[in-house]
Amino acid sequence: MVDSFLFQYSFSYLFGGTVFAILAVFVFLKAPEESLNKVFAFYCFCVAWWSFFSILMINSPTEFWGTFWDRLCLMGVVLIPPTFIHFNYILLGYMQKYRWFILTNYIVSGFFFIANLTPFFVNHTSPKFGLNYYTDPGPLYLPFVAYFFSLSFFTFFVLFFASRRATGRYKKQVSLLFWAALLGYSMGGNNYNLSFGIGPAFLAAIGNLGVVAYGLIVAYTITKHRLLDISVIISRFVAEFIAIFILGTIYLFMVWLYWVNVSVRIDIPFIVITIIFGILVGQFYQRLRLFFQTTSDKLFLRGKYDYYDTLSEASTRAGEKLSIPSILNILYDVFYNAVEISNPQVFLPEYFTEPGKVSKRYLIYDKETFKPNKKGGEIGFDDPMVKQLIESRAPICDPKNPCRELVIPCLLENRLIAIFVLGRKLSEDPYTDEDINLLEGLASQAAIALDHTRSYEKIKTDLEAAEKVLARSQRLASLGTLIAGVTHEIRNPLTVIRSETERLANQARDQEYLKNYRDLLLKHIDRISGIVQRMLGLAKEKPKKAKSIDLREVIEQTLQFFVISRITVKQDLKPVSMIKANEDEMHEVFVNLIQNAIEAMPGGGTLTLKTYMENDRIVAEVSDTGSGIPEDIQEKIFDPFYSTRHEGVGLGLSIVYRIVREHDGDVVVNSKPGDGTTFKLLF
Amino acid sequence: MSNPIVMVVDDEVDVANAITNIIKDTGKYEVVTAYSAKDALAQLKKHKVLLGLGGNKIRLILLDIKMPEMDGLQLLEKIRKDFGEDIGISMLTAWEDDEKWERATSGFVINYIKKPFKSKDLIATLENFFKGDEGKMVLNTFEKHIEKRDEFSKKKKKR
Repeated sequence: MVDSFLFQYSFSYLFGGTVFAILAVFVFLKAPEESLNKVFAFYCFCVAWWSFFSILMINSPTEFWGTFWDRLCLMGVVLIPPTFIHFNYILLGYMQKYRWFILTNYIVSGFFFIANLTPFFVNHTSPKFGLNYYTDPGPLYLPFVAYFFSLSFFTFFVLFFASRRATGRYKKQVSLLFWAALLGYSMGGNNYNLSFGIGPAFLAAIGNLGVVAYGLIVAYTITKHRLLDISVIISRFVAEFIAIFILGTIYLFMVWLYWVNVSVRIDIPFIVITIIFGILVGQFYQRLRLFFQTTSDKLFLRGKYDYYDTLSEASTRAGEKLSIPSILNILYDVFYNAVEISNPQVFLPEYFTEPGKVSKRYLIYDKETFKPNKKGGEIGFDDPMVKQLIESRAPICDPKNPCRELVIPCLLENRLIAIFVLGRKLSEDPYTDEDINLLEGLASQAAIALDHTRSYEKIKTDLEAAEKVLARSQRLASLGTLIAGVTHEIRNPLTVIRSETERLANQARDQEYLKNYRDLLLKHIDRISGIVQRMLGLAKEKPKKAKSIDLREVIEQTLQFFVISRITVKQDLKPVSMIKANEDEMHEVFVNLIQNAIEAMPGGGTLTLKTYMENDRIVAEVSDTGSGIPEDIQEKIFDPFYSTRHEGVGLGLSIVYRIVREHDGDVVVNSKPGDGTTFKLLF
Repeated sequence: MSNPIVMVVDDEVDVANAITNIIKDTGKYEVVTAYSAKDALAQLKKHKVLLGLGGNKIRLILLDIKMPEMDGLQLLEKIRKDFGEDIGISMLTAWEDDEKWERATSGFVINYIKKPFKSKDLIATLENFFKGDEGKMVLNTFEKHIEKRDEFSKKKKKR
């Protein structure tokens, strides 16, 4: 079978050189910034260099060219030892400590590199073992070979001891590196035999393949896992090997049949090339096919792709919604625009609209209003279809029925949350399995989302109720403050009445005194009744009624509730249009704002109250000259329970905000720390 | 010797006048009426004897707490700072507030009269004061202050 050693040897070099050239580029590009990748790439480059120029040398026509190519080839070879130990040291993490050692090796190699340019290294070349020309060692060649092997053996030892010392997974990995290096070098080293005239020659050719195996193992180690798990690579190699072995045997059997029966002439290199091609096909066919398939699918089946995307995206979106209209909106959107169904209907049980009631039927929800359409039809809970849907947990597909061609249940455990009753597609095409699968996915998402709306609605109602209770208690708390103020207000007129009445006995005959006394008494009694009246008005829970009110009056009345001490009150109440609002709630707004303003100025200051018109809007302003609100909390002050005071519940401003919003108004805060705060209400 | 001067400070004109009248009716005292803290300070300056070295002709102040701009408590602190401890001060107020009571009584006031008050209580305060019981009165009030403060702190601790 052996045609010519020259051919085999050239081929092994060609193969090795190609593999190492590819490895060099590949490993380098994988991470050009990593020193490990750089050094290993350079190592591969040197091996590839050696391989390619060896081919030229062994095939050269004259001795001149043989020697020329040999010298060029050895330029790569002399750099193999230092790069080899260099990347192994990086891999093992020894660089920090032994940088000097690596440097020394480069210097030694540099010496041989220069020596290579002189006749002392390689003087001439001569034909050997059927090769056209091969190295004849010069006086410095032997020391180099000695250096090459001693350094290589040193590296093996380093790897061997590193593997002994390593633990766990790392141990396996380092020992793999050791065995791989030993294999590569013990086989690749055979090339030197030829220059000293030692046979058998074919060992050198096989040796080159060993070097290739080594390079591949290290490259894989570096790029994939750094130090990979040996069991992974072994199992992969075994699998690949068995696969190639089985297929290769079949192939060789067929070749044998051909050889025996058809033609005696057989071309070995052709067989090798076809086997390599076969391996490549095996390796890349699947990936290549997948790549082209997705590309061509996208190109030719674009509409379908969009449609699937829309459906799966809608499923995700539906799962995020918490209100029935927004979920229905997505569902109908998908039915009409993505799947293109002529008459889709979504049925929901009654409890979605009437939470308290016992539900007996599913109602159709209108595609535009998203509310139950009682005329549109209903499905009773006892309908056989409902039973079937719950039991089978699968869609009902009836291609003969144009209105109910496809019925999809939205199930959550054993509860049928909704029913999609879908008519024909606009295209009149039947529903495909994929359509049904995707719609089922949408249905299960919708079931979850719809069920969540119920718990969400319940939480929302509970929360609103709780907020109302708290708002009332907050109101009572502010009422407490107000009552203290009111008591004080009453005591002053009482003081006047009491004191003057006590004096009455002595002054009874003084007519002028009596007149003054009467006026004074009446004035202060009226004052007290006024205060009492306001108190009652505030304490009573009145039904909410909106009427036309003047904000100026509200502000003036509210202000009377406050005992204002140390603070100067400035009122700049310009006439404003009447506002349709609930008077009590407006009182509450200003009670809260004024109270906040007063509390913001414990050391005194100016409280300014303003009303004016601005671009057809009624504006009321409450400003203080207190400490102001830091910018970072200005957003939070309207949140319920946010309070900067220790005693505060933190509901005051949230109540203000809610009431103003309910009156279609806006609240604007303008505050500078140190300068005070202005709350501006716009209606 | 002229009658001692009593000053009534209250922002409510009617209340201030009523108190002034009650005191005037006794015929024993001269009364100055101030309708604000600023007014009161001006009066105090006006009635200094020998630039304050000889004390002040105003011997007693009946002081309201709730007043705009500067309230009675601030005024009390200012008087104690600027005019010393010689002038007797009686707090007149409609407040029933622990914190304010504490602040007022800590300023060595002779007593604390709650509105609405009986005329005879007011007169009694004046008479006791001018009889020379001032020290005793202040002490009593201050004792009460200490007692009550202890109560407050106990309450606070319980909380």
